Amino acid sequence: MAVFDALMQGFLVALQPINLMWALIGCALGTAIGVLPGIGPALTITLLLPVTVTLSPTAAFIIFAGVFYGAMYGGSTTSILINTPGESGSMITALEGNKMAKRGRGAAALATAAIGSFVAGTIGTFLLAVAAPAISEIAFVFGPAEYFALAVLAFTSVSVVLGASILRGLLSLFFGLGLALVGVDYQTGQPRLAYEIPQLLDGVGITIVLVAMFAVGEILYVASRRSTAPQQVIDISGPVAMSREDWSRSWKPWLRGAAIGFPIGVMPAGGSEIPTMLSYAVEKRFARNPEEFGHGAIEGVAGPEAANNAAVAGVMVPLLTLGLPTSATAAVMLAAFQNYGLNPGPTLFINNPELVWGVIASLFIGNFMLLVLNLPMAKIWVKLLAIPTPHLYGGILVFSLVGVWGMSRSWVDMALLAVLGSIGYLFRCFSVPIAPALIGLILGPMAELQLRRAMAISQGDPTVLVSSPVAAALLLAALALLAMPLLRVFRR
Amino acid sequence: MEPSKAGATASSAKRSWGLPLLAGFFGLAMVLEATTLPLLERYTGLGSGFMVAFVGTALLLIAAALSWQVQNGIRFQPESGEGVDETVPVSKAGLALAGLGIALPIISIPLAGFPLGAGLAYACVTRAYGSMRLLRDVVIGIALASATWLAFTKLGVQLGPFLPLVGAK
Repeated sequence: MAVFDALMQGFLVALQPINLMWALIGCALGTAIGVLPGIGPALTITLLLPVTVTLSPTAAFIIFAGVFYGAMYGGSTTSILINTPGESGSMITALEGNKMAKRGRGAAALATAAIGSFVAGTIGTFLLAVAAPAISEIAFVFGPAEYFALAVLAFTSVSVVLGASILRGLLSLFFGLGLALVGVDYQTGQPRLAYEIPQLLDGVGITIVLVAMFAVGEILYVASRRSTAPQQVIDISGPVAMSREDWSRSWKPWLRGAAIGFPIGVMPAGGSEIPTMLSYAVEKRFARNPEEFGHGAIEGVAGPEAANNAAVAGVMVPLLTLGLPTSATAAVMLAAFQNYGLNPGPTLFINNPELVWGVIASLFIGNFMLLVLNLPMAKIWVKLLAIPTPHLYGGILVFSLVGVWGMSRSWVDMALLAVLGSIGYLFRCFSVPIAPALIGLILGPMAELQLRRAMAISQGDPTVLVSSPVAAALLLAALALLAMPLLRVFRR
Repeated sequence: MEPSKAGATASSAKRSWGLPLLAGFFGLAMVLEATTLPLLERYTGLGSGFMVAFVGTALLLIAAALSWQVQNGIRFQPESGEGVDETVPVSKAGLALAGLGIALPIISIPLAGFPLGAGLAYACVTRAYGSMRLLRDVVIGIALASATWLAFTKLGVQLGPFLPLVGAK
């Protein structure tokens, strides 16, 4: 009942005309960046950070949530019509949806993707509203050792799951942890890794790293390996709608997709690849005509799309309750919380109920807005692809420069942007994932703080780190995550 | 040769040591820095150098493991992505021009202001992406950067004077 009351209060916040406008801006922006190549939700939220400091935290997070959800909707449109999955969660949609479009069933594919995303997003958001307050209570029993163990679990899970290899995932993670150490040590006041450059004493700004690794690295990488093949957008005739048979073949995959996506999204190592692949496998097993899979089966679009969107709602659970980001976008949102001086966790639910419940309610409203924006207007969004690539990437650079120059107007920051952007380029050249670096950078200071607190309390006894069952279990889970793939390698 | 799950292939072709060298460079820099900092403190347990030493050592170990992989013929494949063809040879001209677009603002924005500095960077990037109409792109870039400067200044983001070279605020 308390959850229901809190949610109603959240709707009172989210339904204010100004907040409805922010939600619409976020959803439209999210859909647009989902359609456009080279820009993802993480980069968009990063670029919005300097602008949103002038807004209230509630307004800013309503925009960010709209961008996060909207990018998933926009990504499925390009997956279906031009066979380019903007993010890993849309790979399966591209596989089946594009085949459907080639067979003249593009409208049905777009419709089942949009409605499935709406259904799963709404179920996921409802589960988020119910689960989040309960999970956040757990954090009350957390001390320094538990928080440190939680950070270690986040580090290992993103390094193992995201990206191509564990070793390169760990390289990215430790690079991020290293960047987090630059600046004055908060406990002793000693400068670390600042090399007598005064501007580095405050540390490396998260915005600079995010913009450099995502935007500048991408600009350099695509410029060096640009595809000259023309994009073939498949034309869709008639309204974006489904037949009676499409409905009857889609509704069960939507529900199954939501049931698979949400719990996996909540897990530290969840991501969007595993739930979409799992949903695809489940749908193939349950399908009346499994031979259609691989040639444009509607169940193969409906299930994975639903799983993808439910996983996004799932990602919000550890972020809001424990301050634990499990994806690059969640890491950027955590940085945004830090920018406002807010700490996700149980105190956020107590001290800022207007913000938390307003954002959760806005997710329901945003989902509805996205359905309206995407179903009848899919053909309009696709027109964004007509922006010439040179001007699109030139524009990304201008907005990136606003984000960095607007922060401190320092040439050192501009130089850091270039250096870190070059590292982002090299990461792409060697398939090193970027998300672990971001999570290392954002969670690294918290991990060090809690480790040093725990060690100070125990007067230097390291067994304090495994003295509580929760901390021991979290560290054991982290160890298992690291050990399992290594065991597979040795067995081979 | 079939690419493995790791985005890497075992090959006898030219070995690429870039990644282990990058990891080794950062690891060494951190370990050297850690030698100037206290690892342990009497009352607070861990000193300011502990984490620096830990991260540096980890990076050195990763560099060693990556070197072992390269030595055994593993080659790290470039990432696939939208608008990217990882099978084509690297366009050095494209990379250099885009690099210029990113390096130029370090000097041009502090000296010439955001609209001109960012506009020129815009033109460098469009040229790197194959646009041949440089003058038009410079004009578009400066117009876009000026509009951005105006909009963001109104929103309260400080982007400095409009054109400091001629004293325009």
